[in-house]
Amino acid sequence: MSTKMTKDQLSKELRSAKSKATRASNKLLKVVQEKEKLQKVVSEKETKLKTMGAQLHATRKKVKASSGDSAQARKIRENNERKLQASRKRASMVEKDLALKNTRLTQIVDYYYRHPMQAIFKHWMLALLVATRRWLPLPERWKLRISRRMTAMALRLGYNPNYKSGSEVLHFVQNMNDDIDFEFFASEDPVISIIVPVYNEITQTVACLRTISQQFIGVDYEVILADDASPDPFYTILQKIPGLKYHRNPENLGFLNNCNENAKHARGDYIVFLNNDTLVNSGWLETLYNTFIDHDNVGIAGSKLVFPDGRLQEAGGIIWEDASGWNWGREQNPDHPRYNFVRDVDYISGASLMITKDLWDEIGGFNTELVKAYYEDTDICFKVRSMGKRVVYQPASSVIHIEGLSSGTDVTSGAKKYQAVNKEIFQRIWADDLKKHLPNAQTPEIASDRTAKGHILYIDAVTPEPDKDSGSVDAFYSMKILSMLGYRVHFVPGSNFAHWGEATHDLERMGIECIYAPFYTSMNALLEERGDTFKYVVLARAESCEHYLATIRKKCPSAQIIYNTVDLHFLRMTREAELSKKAEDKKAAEKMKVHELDYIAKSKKVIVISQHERELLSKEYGVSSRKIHTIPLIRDESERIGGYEGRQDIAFIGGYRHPPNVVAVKWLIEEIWPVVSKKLPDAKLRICGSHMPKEFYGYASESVIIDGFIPDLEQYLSGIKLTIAPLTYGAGLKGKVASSIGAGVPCVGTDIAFEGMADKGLKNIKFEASTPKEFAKLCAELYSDANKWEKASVSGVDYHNDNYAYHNVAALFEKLLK
Amino acid sequence: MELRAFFQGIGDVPLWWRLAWADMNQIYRRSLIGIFWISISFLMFVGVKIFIFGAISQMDMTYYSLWVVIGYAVWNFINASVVDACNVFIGSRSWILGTNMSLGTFVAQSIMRHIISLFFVAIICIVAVFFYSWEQSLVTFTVLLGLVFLIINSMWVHIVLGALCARHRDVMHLVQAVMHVMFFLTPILYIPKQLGPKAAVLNYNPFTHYLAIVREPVVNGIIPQLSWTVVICITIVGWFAAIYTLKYKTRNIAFWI
Repeated sequence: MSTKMTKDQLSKELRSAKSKATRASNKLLKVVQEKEKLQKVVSEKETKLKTMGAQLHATRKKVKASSGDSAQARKIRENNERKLQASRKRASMVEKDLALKNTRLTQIVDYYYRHPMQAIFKHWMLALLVATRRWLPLPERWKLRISRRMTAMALRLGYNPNYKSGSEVLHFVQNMNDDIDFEFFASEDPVISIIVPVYNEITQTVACLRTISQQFIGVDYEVILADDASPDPFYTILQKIPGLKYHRNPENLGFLNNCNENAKHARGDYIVFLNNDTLVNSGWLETLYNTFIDHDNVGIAGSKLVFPDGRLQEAGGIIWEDASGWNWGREQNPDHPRYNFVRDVDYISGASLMITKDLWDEIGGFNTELVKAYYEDTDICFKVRSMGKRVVYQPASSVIHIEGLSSGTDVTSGAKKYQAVNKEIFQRIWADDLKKHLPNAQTPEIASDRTAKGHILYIDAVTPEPDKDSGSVDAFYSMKILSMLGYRVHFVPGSNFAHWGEATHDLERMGIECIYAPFYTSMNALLEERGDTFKYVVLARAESCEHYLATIRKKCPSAQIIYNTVDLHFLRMTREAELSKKAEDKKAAEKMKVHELDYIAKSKKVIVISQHERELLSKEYGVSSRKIHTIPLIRDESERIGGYEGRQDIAFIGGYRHPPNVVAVKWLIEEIWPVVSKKLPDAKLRICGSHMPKEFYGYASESVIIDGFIPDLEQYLSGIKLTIAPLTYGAGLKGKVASSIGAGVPCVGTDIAFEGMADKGLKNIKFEASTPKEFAKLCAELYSDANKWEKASVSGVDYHNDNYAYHNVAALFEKLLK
Repeated sequence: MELRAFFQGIGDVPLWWRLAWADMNQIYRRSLIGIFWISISFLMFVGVKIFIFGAISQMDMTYYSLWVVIGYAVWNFINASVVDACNVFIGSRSWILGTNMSLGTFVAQSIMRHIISLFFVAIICIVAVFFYSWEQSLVTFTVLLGLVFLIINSMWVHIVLGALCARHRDVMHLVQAVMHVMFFLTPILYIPKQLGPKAAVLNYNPFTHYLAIVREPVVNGIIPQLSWTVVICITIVGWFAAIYTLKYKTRNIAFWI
């Protein structure tokens, strides 16, 4: 029974296999027939070629016969000569075409022979894709992707992807007209000129232009379409796009000359070259433009290039000493921290490149010594650098680049062959500069950041948010100064390794690499990968030392460890313990002291915030004073907004995660303010700052206003007359006092509040009080006397700029790193 | 001490919110449809189930569809919570060893991921409710309370199972196996009435009650008192277990993972 069953089954399977085989062989037969057909075509064309040859011969004879005759004869001769040239050209074209067809045909037949099942499957898939693209109302971006996938598949299966039947052509034109649902604003006075060189690929160009039209940017721009005499008859569609500046060359010039020629039409201060085989992502133009605003001395800026499938194509390019190029980060994850900070690079790909118009004019465009295409972008980057300007990669600006769509990837044929030719020319021009570059492919990590003076690892507890608290502002500017000095800073938020949204982006925009999950989730992962590259390691706050000092000493043997105390924690804790009189507080402070002194002993250099702390450390604890560096608060250059008139009220500013501020507010509300209020009945007290405890809202009354967190402190301070800082403990320099004085708002405070401030000019701005009565007296004097207030305000701004503006602080860092 | 640190981690909303969102982005990175795959896969599963089981059971289609859609949505959340809970500390190994982050952060991060998933599934549920124009009353809003309870329970499950699985790795496999079986022992694809007298057995399955507190108000318009009692009791017991784990066991987790 069972044998019968199996027999039945077997025969069934056999039958189905047979039918499959017949289907496959039918398909094969078709292909072979097709091959025969094509061979017929080939032989036909060959005979045509022969007849052409015969014609050629005849014409030549005619020319010979007519030579030496009259003017008319010469005319005929010239005419014939031209005809001759044309037919020769045509003949060679037919020949090439035939050869190509022949090789493709063999490839296809081969494919069918080798993988018949796959071929059949792919046919179905193709049919499915065609149906999907045609009938489903998908967004244009998806349709484009499907088209691209179809093209690859069709080529493999031997279809002609460019072939369109009559009805399809009509459909296509109709569609294209419908596609143009966007326009450009025709500006009279554009700041940026975007030049898109085009040769065929009209559908792709329209898609590219559409993405440009969706950019949001605060300045005007124009889009110049440089059509290099595309033979594609649909180019006329491009002329219909409203606002687009369309220029068509009378003849084909090649990529390089096309760019040079059409850049003459640019009217903006900046020129952007964008390939038409791209789709730009949101923010592409604005971030590119901002690179010139945010960074000094930039000559060229370029975007991150991403493959259509989401992998990274290039995050700035490397040129080796043998002039060959390397796409840094190719096929990696574009979100990796390594590819996401602003950095100086060897070259920027011409696929998306922004240059200032002045520089472009001075250089005179892409180098015409080079042929047609390739290396023109590298050459201009080298030229810009030799003129002392920077070539910068901007990761926030990203572009999807369909590499090789326009010219293929084979170096031996098509336009790509110019790559090899141009490499030699380029090597000849820049021989001297190339000597400074690194040998091919040996150390891409180092080559990718060749210009950095050294690498600094900066570890803090969390990512700084300069609008939230004063400690963040210092951390932010410290890193800014370090990068300004030419070092590459790598920032680790040591307590959580989290990507902190905009705050992280802000650092990356400054050229700082931020380390975050899921790429790195522990210090070990980072240090094992590149612990030996760091020249300095900055550990901010005692917490960072507690967690990482030992690991760093082990894994970064060549690095100098710099301990940034931010404020000496044990000093603050001792004062707190004195006030609270609790034994456990005192014990905690003692413990912290031991730890902090240990960290100081184990570091090469120590940063303290005030002279007071420096003296304390060197005198009482015997730390070598050469090791200690005083770096005060670091702030932006400040300017006063408005004078005495129009200002009112007295404010207390502070972050309430810092316990001394909470204690100060309590004292202020309970004891000081009632006395002040009596002297100044019109004035109101405003309490503001982040992370405010809930009980503060209970303090609100007729003369006390609780403002909470203020996002724009500068704006806030411009309406305030005085600030008050009744701090009873806390160590180091107080951010709130500095911010207030810097904004031209005089501050009345305790001795502790002014502790640690630089001596230079201090006497003009220090309004010190220790009892409620003294507070009331000083507040009343400053509040009501316009002259006195004005004098205090102006000297406050001067004091701030002399001591804390980051341009002045930079010198201190330079000394630190010596 | 451990308890305080744990709840501080839960309180650090910006941190775990960012981590959870980054996780979701990583999962659906480079896909065209992105996070909406959650809705689509849910829709596909539910669609097929309604098509097949609806035909077999000859029930009122509207009633049965809503039953399946909401039941499966809640089950998705419960199942993901329980299964991921096993991995919550093991999966965060390098963070726990490398940083000083609170364990609460990882628990909140994991739960937030499930809440995000639930949100995308809930879109389909809401559409289904309107599509079948099911009559809704004030009772329906107890659903929200039910969801809150699901989240509260998810927390203790994370703590207890997270620690247990870190210590005994077999538990993780056991839990996975049990959850597979529980899917069929819980009235998701069928209605208890269909089982006849055997339906009473279902009452001994706690998941039945967790499903009921969310599903009953929508589908039957009633507040299931028995289920609520069971859920509240389990919540209390569970949280006692969780607090015990937090107090005495979590300090060892770094050594177990």
